[in-house]
Amino acid sequence: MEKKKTIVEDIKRDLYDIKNPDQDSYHITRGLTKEIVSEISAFKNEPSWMLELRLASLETYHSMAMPKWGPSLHELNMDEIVTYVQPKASAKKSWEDVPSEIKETFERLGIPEAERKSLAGVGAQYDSEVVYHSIKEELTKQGVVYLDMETAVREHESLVREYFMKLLPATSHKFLALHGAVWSGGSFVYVPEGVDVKIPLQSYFRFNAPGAGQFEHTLIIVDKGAKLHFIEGCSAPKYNTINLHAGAVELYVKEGATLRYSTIENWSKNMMNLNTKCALVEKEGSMEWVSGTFGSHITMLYPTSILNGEGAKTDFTGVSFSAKGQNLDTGSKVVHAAPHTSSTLSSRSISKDGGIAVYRSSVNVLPQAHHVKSAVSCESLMMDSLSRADTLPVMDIRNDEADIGHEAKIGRISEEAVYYLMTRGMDEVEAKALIVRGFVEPITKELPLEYAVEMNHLISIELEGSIG
Amino acid sequence: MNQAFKNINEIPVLTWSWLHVNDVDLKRDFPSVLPYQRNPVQEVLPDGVKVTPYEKTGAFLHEQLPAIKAKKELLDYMAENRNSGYVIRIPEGRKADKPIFLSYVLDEKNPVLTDDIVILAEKGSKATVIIQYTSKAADTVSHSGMTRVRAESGAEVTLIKVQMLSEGGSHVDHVAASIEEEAKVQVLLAELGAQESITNCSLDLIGEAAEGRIDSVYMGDGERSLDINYLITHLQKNTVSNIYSSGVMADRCEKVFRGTLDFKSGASGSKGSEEEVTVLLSPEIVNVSTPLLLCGEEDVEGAHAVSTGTIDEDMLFYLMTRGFDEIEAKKVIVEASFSPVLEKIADERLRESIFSYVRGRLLHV
Repeated sequence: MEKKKTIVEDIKRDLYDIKNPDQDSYHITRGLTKEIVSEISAFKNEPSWMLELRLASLETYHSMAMPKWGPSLHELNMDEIVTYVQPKASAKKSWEDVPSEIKETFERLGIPEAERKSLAGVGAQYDSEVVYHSIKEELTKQGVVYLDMETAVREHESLVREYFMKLLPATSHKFLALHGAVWSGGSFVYVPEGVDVKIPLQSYFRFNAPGAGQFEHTLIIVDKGAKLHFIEGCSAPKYNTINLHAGAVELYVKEGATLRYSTIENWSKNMMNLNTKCALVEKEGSMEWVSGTFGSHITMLYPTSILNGEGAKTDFTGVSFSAKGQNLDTGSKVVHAAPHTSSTLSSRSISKDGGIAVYRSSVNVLPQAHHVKSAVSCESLMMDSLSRADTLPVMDIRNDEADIGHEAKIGRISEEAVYYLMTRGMDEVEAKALIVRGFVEPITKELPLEYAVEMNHLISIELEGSIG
Repeated sequence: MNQAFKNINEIPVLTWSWLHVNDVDLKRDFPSVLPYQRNPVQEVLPDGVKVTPYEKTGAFLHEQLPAIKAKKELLDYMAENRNSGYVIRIPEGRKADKPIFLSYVLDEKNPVLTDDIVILAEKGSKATVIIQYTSKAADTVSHSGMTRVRAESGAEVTLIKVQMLSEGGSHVDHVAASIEEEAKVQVLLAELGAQESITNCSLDLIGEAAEGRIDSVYMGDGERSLDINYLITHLQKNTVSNIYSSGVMADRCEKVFRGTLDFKSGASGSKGSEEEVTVLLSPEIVNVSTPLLLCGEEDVEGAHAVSTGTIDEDMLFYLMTRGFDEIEAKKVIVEASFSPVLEKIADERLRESIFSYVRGRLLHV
């Protein structure tokens, strides 16, 4: 008898695929040269140190080889990528001032509505520049800074200079070097000592121009004892040319501070998403990553936590959904650099219709980091034999006082679990539905309600039979 | 430096190069190969089993044998420098009543060994093959070699390889097996000696319902380095795999463990599991684990687990309340961690000699 299968539908992309005409924006010349990089810097009227950083990064980019591991990037031709696209709007503080066409795009995505209902501040980036930024007045009064990155470079120059690309230097890898050369847009957040930002801030990155790159830089400093939840959303319409996203996120979690960084990424399937994120966590600080990867043609994304102070901790929760034409290489990295630090990494992936889901992780325990605890787990659901699910974790332990555990599973729904639920009164379909929802639940439960609903829309599950 | 021993033991799928787990170089130079003048084959063989020097078997063998997972330069080097080789043939249906024992003793006169052992287990046959490598403590010896196993349908092979080379020794060893329909191959590896040890074991489950299992124990102390790379590939339906590795690390030992279960498309109904358990006895060790799970088939069950930690304080306390001093208690715990693997060795004398060797090595820990 032929096995019945549970169908997990492709992500419905109609909402994200609406394109605006690209005729009125300014595009810099295609390719990557010293002149192009200098021109971007001049456009932004940057201080000289930033131009120097850009030019040094460009040199590093040209000196570095493409990675020998991970998905093939042969489709990426940097000579064809436009690294800077300026929309016909500068950063506005009032939603009414944003040009109607761009405003409609964000309204369709529900951004202003979310701002009214559940956010303390919003940033909206369209192609290479931020077009809208706002923050609730009471937070400004408490000293919270939430600005687009260009404004922060001008208005908080010394603070930005102290931290910008210090955690993620251009020498880290080729695409960070590229980012250093052509970065544009992004957000800057500073939360002063002891301030608890009780409702989240959100930045939304929308890509409209075909054949272009988006290189936003996000820099967040959560000072001693402060708390913040930051949400990042990304989407783009689908084109037939390769687009490139090589953003960078640098997070500084000071002593006793807490930062939660949530991302729902739904790039179109022509996007190469080569993003880099890293957090430096000081004594007793806490860094929580929540990461949903649904879109893009290729993703290489591994949020990293460096636990630099005694008692620092990090949690990573990630879900990826890889369908036809997608190769999603995701995971997380942790460096335990201090005693009594702890980490929990938990990932789930679903792959179907030839999609490739790769979980890649590393846990490094340095010699000085005694009494470390780390638990890593990943689970993969394969929906058919056209698809792939690979798990590639590495643990490098250099101290014997370390309690390290790793577990991984690939497979289908446990028949025992279904049987157990059926003995508790559920029918088979209900039991399986519960298990599939449970599979992605670790991430949905970590999101604010509005975003959990959004993620459930992204994964539509039609239950007909067993998974597998 | 002999280039054949550079960038070896490569992982099936590469990861970040900064982690230095994708491959390894043999740090010491591998000396020129001299003739190996001893006969390693025990005199009494099981009835019907033939052990023939490799040279007399003809080239036809190569087409029937599993491929060793190594780069071409290393394979060429081992073929050109082979100084000992045997083909062990277990005839169809024959159940060997005792193990087939090969003992390589390296010494001043025989300091270098490049061996090539072939095990052909014909349909429905059953045998245990033990290959042991030893040397006196003072000798600097070098071993590189390969063991290839072909298990025809319904055959059962247990291959036990015990490496107890001297502290100054180096050891580069490859095992490959092709396992046909309903055949079983169990490889048991005890990596206990040598200053530098690089081991590779790859089992291909090429027949329906084939089973492959790798059990290993390793022990690292002093400045020893161990580099381990195990792979079991599921190529057919309803195949079963298991990798279990248990190790103890002390002093400034460095170890990289790579273990991969690879489910190819078409291997439906297959199951695989992998577990590595490491006991750490020193704050100066470097312990790297890379358990890979590769999957191109939906209808499989695969799992891996790694646990690493220092000796369980509660267990230590318990043993000390029963009259053991701390060092004795630690020895008991280490021996207990090796037991799940070593208890599978049916040959009592060999098993005891391994435990005795381990106890001796634990004296200074």
